[in-house]
Amino acid sequence: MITRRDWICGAVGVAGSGLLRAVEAPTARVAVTRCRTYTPAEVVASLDQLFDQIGGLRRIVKGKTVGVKINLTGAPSYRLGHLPLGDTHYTHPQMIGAAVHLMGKAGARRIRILESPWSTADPLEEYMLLANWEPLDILNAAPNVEFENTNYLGRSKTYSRMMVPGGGYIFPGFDLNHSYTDCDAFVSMAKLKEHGVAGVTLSLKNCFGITPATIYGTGSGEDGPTDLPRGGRQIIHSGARQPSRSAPQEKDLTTPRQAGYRVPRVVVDLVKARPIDLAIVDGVKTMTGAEGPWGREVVSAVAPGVIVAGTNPVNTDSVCMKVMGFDPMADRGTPPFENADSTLALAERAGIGTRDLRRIEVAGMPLKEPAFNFAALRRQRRL
Amino acid sequence: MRWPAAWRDPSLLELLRDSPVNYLLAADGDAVRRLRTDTEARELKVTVATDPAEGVEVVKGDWPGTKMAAPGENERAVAGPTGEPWIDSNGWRVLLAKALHPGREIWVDAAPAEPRLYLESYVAGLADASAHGGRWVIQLDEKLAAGIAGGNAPGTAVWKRLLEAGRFFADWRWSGLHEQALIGVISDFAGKNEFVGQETLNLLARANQQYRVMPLESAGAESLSGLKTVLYVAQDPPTPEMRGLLSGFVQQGGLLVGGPVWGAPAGPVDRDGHPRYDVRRQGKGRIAIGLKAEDDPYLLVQDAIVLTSHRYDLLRFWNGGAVRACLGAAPGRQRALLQLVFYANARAGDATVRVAGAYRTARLYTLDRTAAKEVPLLPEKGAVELHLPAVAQYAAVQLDA
Repeated sequence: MITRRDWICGAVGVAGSGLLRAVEAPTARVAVTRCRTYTPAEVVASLDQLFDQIGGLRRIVKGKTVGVKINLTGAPSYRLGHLPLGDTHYTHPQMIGAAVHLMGKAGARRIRILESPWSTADPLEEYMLLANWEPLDILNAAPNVEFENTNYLGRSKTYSRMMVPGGGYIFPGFDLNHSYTDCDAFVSMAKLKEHGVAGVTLSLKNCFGITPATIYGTGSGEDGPTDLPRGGRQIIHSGARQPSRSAPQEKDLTTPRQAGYRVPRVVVDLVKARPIDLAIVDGVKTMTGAEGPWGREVVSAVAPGVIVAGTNPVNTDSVCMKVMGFDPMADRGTPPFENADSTLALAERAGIGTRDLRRIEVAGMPLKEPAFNFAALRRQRRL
Repeated sequence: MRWPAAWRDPSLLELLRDSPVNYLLAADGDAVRRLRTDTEARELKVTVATDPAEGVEVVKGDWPGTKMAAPGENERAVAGPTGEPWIDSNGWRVLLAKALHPGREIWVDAAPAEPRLYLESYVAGLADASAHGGRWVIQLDEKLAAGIAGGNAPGTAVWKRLLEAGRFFADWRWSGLHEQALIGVISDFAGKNEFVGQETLNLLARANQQYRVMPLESAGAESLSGLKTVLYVAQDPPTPEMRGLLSGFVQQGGLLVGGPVWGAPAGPVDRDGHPRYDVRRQGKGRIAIGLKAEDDPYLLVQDAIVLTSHRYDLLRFWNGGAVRACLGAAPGRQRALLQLVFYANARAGDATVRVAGAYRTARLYTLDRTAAKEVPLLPEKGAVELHLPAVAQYAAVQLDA
């Protein structure tokens, strides 16, 4: 049997020459469901149904160590108004707890919750407490649940080098926290949001945060990783300097030093290096206008009341874009990619998956109309 | 108040009439004699001297506010290592002086400093000292002094706000409340212990932790009351008495964080562990001894906070911006007072604070002394969340169970 990873490796040469067509990129079923609240019963039932619709969770997690990359972007002291962070820009803790519970039921051997929180090497549990979450609710949702802050070396003695099959757009490989190689199945558990640079942030863009700031952060060492992470990932955004020399360096320093060029490509490189086995996008409650309250445009809390899941992140994110009222086939110059290349298009060209909705089987909620029209709000804001 | 040298017109003393200013520090003996004559002639109840009164401990402080970027850059607040605004506050100095000189009144003496000579900085300075239990010595920069003397609008506005704030703190007395603390810091805070000891206090304050200053000489069982953690930052080994005191604290469920001077800890290794500490279980508590002597107070404080755990935070802020807080409570926590100082010029909007404890009502008091406002209060497990209205420089929230 050929796995998606094998397929990607084989297709890279073709993708690099630009000959790969969307029609050839992989496709897998994506499921969409209504979920109006974060009450545990509703979230568990909704996720259970979604997982059934995409072929069951058991085949993905049974007997495996599962890494779940959640989205905790920005400092936990930053709220949109007075709203809890899970209601706006963090993956909601009930969503995480429900998924962990179902993974446990499906036979996961170990479940490790992963994130590289803003500028700290503190345990993820402590970061969650600052967000006003109860980490025990997640730890107790299934047997053998762990947290790991992946913004630094963590519990290992060395970073894990993960190469990009075929070489990558920007980076040929990355030095990452050990948890990204330790896991047999990798889950990207994102929030349904727009993004100030990348247009949208969904399951693909969520993986931007797997990079440790000790190597890729503003305060990273020139020669090697710092012990503690400092600052954000401006190195990747601007390309003003290279990551620590101990890590793989950029392939071509003459490429544009623009975030709209670099961020989508680095995301695709990361997802090729650490393929996503399951994408879950939390759109029960979220925000418009940016990926966090600090956005330059008017930002608002909204409740689309939807969850999307799939085994192919490009397919899943394409369906999410449709759910948001955007055209997943859009590219630079067209909303939401006015100032950036489309991460989805680049991922499709790299052979990760198709963004062509005609080729993606969608289960659950019909997609005739957007579940929540982010695109219309975006147009209104920009009038 | 330090009387501006340029204010030689006796009629300017009328600015003090019915004001909370009751002590004038004059530049020299001549100024003292002149001012005494003039204040007596005007029947102003003001003491004039070149030095502070008996029983006063003067703290030389910083001009409070958020640290700004270097000249030439856009004026913006500089962030600390955690991304939070870097605040210069004298609060920790006041708490240290109170602990080292119990019973004495603490005055904070800080000269106005560029580039933060805003109206708001004067009010924040006064609030900063007062909220921590000290008194602020009003000092005016030359431009402002000239503006007030000349009666111009900005100068008059600053003066009015300063007096308003001064009256607020002179009149309000929340009696029977004790400062709440989670972490105690033991040191003599002097000599070779001065830098790490004092910087530890400064950084705990910057992390908005509620802490207690525990001078080596006076630290006793009573000073451990309510603490989760004791941070022993003195460079000399503890005396047998201190070792016994802190071992008892650990046995009863506390956490002791110290350096190698404490000696190798005994007991089973704690399950959670720590990369820079040998953490052992002793009795109901834990002891965490640094694997090496920590000379970086930032790391020391961050580690102590994480070892303690944010689970026990007395206060937790969202959108607080440049804020410092002091929490006092009555025995049994039936009533608490949360004092908040905001150092930014703009009003802090959408600020939320979580206060540990079960309270049912929250009333907000502000410097303008308008009627107290009810604050929306969201009960949580073991805490309440307060959604604050936009507030400038200072607010006090009275919480009742």
